Amino acid sequence: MPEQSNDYRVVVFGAGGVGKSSLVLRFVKGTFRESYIPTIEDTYRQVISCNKNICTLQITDTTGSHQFPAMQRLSMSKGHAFILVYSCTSRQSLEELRPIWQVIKETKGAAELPSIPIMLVGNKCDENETREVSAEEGDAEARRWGCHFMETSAKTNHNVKELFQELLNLEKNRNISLQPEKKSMRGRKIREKCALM
Amino acid sequence: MENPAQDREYTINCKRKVVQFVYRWVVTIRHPVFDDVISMSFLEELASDVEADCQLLGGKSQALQEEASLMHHIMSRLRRYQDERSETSGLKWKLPPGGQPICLFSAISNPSKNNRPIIRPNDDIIFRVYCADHTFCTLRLPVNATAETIKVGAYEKCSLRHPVQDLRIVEVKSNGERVPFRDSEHSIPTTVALNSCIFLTPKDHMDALTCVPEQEKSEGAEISSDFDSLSTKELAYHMTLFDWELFWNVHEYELIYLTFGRHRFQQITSNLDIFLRRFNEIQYWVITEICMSQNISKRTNILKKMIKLATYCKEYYNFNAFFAILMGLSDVAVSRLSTTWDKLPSKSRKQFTEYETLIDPSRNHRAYRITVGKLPSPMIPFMPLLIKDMKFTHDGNKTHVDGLVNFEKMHMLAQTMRTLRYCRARHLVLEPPVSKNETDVKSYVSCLRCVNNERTLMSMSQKLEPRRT
Ligand SMILES: Nc1nc2c(ncn2[C@@H]2O[C@H](COP(=O)(O)OP(=O)(O)O)[C@@H](O)[C@H]2O)c(=O)[nH]1
Ligand SMILES: [Mg+2]
Repeated sequence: MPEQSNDYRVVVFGAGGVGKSSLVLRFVKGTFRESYIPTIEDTYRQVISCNKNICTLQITDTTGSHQFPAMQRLSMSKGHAFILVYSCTSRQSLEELRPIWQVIKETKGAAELPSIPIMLVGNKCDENETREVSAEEGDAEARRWGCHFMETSAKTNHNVKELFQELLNLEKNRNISLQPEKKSMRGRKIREKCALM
Repeated sequence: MENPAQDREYTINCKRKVVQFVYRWVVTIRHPVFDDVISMSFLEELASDVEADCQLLGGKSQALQEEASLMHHIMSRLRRYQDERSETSGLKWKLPPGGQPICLFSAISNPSKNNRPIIRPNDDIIFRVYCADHTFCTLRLPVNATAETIKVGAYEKCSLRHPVQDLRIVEVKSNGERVPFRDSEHSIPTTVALNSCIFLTPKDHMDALTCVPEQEKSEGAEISSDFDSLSTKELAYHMTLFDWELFWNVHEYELIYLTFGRHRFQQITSNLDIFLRRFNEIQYWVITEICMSQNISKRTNILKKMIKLATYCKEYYNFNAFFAILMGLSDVAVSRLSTTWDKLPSKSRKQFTEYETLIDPSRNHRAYRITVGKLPSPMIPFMPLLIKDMKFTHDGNKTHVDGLVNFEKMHMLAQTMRTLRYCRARHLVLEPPVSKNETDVKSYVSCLRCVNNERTLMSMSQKLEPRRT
């Protein structure tokens, strides 16, 4: 089926409260808020480079659609890469990803699956006191699924940029990089500085 | 306030505002206000107080006259509603085996109104409860009966040796998935998924439950006619009328009940559940029709007809059915049939590609939102998206922040509900197409045959066009 735009679509799945919004906002805006983060937009956009062209990275938050298999399947079939987020502090949140993984597998088909960038992410790795899932367990689960694994913390900004970088590196069908041409690089630097102040 | 005349003016103004607010509230919310004992007695009291005030102020000023007539209007609506209620009370619904959509089988007492009635908590519903060995009993209970009530009812009819407290009510989906119900959950027959069956089982035997044969086969529904023998336009027309009635019967509050959880309100969401199930029904019917056509040229024909059907649904602003059809056609079981797609006339293929951009979920279904944003009501919206918007807002946002109600969230929810209201601001009136066999088409669209087990569909598809290696 024809590709109508040069958007690159990343779809984020995960139970409520695991830190999806926090991860995306940390990546896109460079900020983190401990308290209430209103979830308003379902799609965040970022300019990146794809095959040396400017393209838009679309990050879609699937919150709220888990009751609609049809909508989930649609976002899966249109998604290029997937981030499956659980919280290291909740085993339940990891278990809730299993059926989602199953549907991704069915939707994409066994033949295509290995070429699709998929990352299992254990967020809140800063929370050592309340940890329920060890990094080893997360890694083992990812290996069972045949996808990649990373632990992150949106709070301490651990591995957040790396997560997206790594995900895009896994894309073999095109050459994608977070660094577009120089101009918007500078734009990001400035924004990062602003965030620090 | 020192001046007594000013004082009086102020009081009357306040009263006026209260009545006008109440009026707006009642005409906006309707049924739930009339169904609630407290709000009803409040209305009665307010109406008689306003009446009394009017008398007191006498004819010398026109003060509160208008308000009295507003209250009068409210009260006559209330009476009319109560009359209608008593006329249609105790309706009986039926959930046929195989979990096909619910059909009404008791005649409505007033035949001049052949609109589909709303499902009420106290209506009766007749449905089957299966045991592990696929024997079943038939129960007749109120729509809002709890799982506990169903359990006890079924226990009395089936002969199980376990004590009743060890039993559970479980939904078995057509893909074999088992979903247990808590005893306190209610309105189960209307909430179960398409082609699901309700089972009674000992708690520790749940994993042994298997589908009953009717769930997998599509022969469960008696097909009166063939899809390809019916006029596409007529199908779209009657489908849209049917869907509109289901849509029309959904109350805005059902969105709130569904989003926050029915149990919090002790309310049913049956009308919404059934409308949402309709989406899945259409979607899987599309896949089923295509995967059941053995002959390639017939299959191509059906594919073409489905695209045509989508075109008509779109023209009728039935976006719910339009999306369901398109999503059915985009399902892997259909999209992988490349020989069939190759034979499709280029015109149909072009149309499909155009429609695909409309269902593209990018940027939160921007393409669709822009398209419908420009259209006048009435229309049937792509309902799963409205539900997703509600859930997205709810799941992603706290209801209370620092002990205070989160108004930002409430505004967002209200915005979505306003969309629903806009879609129904006017009643649907369509130019009927030239009718060839209205009765056949009507009965066809009211009960679409479908297999909704993805694995079964996929293997049907693979048999039709084996993968080339
Ligand atoms: N300690 C810690 N808390 C986090 C982290 N990421 C998110 N949170 C907190 O977890 C809560 C839920 O985060 P949110 O991004 O709204 O989760 P979402 O529902 O998945 O979008 C918020 O209170 C965040 O501040 C993290 O990496 N570490
Ligand atoms: Mg969120």
